[in-house]
Amino acid sequence: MSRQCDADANSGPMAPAARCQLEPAVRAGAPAPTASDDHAASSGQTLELRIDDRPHRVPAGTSLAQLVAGLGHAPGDVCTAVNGSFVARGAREHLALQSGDAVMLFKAIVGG
Amino acid sequence: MKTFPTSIEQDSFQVAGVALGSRFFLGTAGYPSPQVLRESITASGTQVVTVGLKRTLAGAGDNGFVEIVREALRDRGARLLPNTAGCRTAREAVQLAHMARELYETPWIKLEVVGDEHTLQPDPFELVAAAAQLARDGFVVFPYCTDDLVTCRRLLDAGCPVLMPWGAPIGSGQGLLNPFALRTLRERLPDTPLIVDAGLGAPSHAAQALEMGFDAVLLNSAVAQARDPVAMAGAFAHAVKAGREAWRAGILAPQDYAVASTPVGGEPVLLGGPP
Repeated sequence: MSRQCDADANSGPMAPAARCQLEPAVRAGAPAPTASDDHAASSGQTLELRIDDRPHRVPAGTSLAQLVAGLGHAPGDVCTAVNGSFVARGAREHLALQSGDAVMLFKAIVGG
Repeated sequence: MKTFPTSIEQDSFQVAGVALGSRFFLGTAGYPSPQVLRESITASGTQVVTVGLKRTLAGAGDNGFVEIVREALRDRGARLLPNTAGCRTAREAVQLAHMARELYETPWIKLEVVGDEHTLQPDPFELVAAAAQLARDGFVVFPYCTDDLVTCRRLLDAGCPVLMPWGAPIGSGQGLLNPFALRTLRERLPDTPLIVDAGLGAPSHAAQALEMGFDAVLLNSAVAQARDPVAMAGAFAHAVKAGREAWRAGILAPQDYAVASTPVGGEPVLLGGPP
């Protein structure tokens, strides 16, 4: 949808802070890595993620479920989206994260 | 002509097969403390409270407000109505709605898709698109919409069982800015549950909405930002009940000219005048 590339769309709850959200969501939405980034990211040791728009590293092979637990959240306390798409609680353990993934965690709040 | 149950106590409000005894939906944001929120929920008599979702961000807590809301569910049998506040596209709203259903374990969703940052009015095109998708996905969609009749019809066609037209921009406290449009909705959609959502400031606004035949109101800021939210919640509860009772009782239709109420019979009354 073209509106997803409007500036206003970038300030919504699902949109990354600095770039348009792609449709459909792609696994590697980050800018093209540099040579040094390639070394770190492809070394098999760590993955470069963004969690709620903040850089984060996890060991290669980390699942989304493991990431949630590692951040100190009980599974039922947060909802998850990867690269702009909702990932159900039951599917998190089967989702292997990849370098460049943008993960967003949502929690319950009051609202009008 | 609409008929009513025998007594006001039996005059429940049905949405998607659920009977609600209160026509007052209450938002939970912006209260000065969790305790005030709890007492306001009690004073309102509400059976539906709205909640939301937001990104966790490291270390961000809610200071106990959400637990208060969950307690309200347990203590009062109140239902949650999660919203998609902050969404600007249908896709965003659909994703957030799915998260809300998982987190809050309800298929009810207050669908908000904002089209303008100043008025926070809905984008009607994205709203209808999102509503259609969510209805297909099994949600009970409560769309926050404007008072445009055609957009409302499209939302019903998309599968919404209820409509929530605004009275005025969110949080503006201006009341019912376009009574003509709201009356039109009531007249043209006589069988659709209609809830005025947003922009109410005074209990008289809520009474006005119910007097027009709307089925319920949803408000947040008018209570949360009152000097005494608990008292204001009670005041709104009275106003909602009064408006509904007035609607049931049959309100005198406005007329252009005087109609004498005292039956003097049209004869002049002269004291001490000529024979």
